[in-house]
Amino acid sequence: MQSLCHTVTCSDVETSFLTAVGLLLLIHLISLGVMTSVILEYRHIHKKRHMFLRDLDPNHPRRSSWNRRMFVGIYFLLTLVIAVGSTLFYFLLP
Amino acid sequence: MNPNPTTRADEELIIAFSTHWIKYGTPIVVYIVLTGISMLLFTIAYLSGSAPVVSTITFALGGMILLVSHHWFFYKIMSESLVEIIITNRRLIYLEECLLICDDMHEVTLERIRAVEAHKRGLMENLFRYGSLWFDTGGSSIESSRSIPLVPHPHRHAREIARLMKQA
Repeated sequence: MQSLCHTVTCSDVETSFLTAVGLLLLIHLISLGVMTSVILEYRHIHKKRHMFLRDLDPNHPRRSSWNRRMFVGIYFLLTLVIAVGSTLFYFLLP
Repeated sequence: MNPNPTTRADEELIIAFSTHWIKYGTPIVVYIVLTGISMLLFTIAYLSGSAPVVSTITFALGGMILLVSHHWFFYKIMSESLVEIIITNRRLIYLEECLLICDDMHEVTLERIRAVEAHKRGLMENLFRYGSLWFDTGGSSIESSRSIPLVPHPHRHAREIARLMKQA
């Protein structure tokens, strides 16, 4: 009589694991894409605002861009940390 | 000829400022709470290692919450930081920004403004010294587009606008 039990082979486990890792990498790729588009748009609008203020008043003091750069840097680094950290954490799951 | 069609030849910048920092409060609190929830879900995923289905589902849920809240937080903060109020000797400009979605410019010329009012209502607004500016442009109804919310020190700015209205 044919056994009704489904036998999970090593190949099945490997395939599902690789699918999960692939999905995880795809999600993080999309996440990096979102981050890049937000940062580029932010830079563009910031530059446009600065030009507008300079048109209104050529002597308008140039605003410090360090806060903006630091914030964009934090966003970039945190996105990378989340991408690498969550992928490594998935490998660590028992 | 003026190179920028949005500026006028005899226009002079008086002051340019952003809205009050309290606008960052809600995104920060929501981000901290959601990050905490996702960390909790990651811990549950790690501890429930003997049940792979539960572990995978909680990991996926935690990851999704973490990613969505992370991007939402930075998107919100970056958008809010670009909101600006510009007062010139000719007009008042309120620039609203939601990155990739909206880029609004509300403009009221000083000749059109009949009266300007500053409102500070509630404990929070009085405690942190912010409020809203409202303009009477001669219409019959009160429109939300005629008021600017989250203005730091609104009474001071209302006085300045009233002074410029007299000069205009």
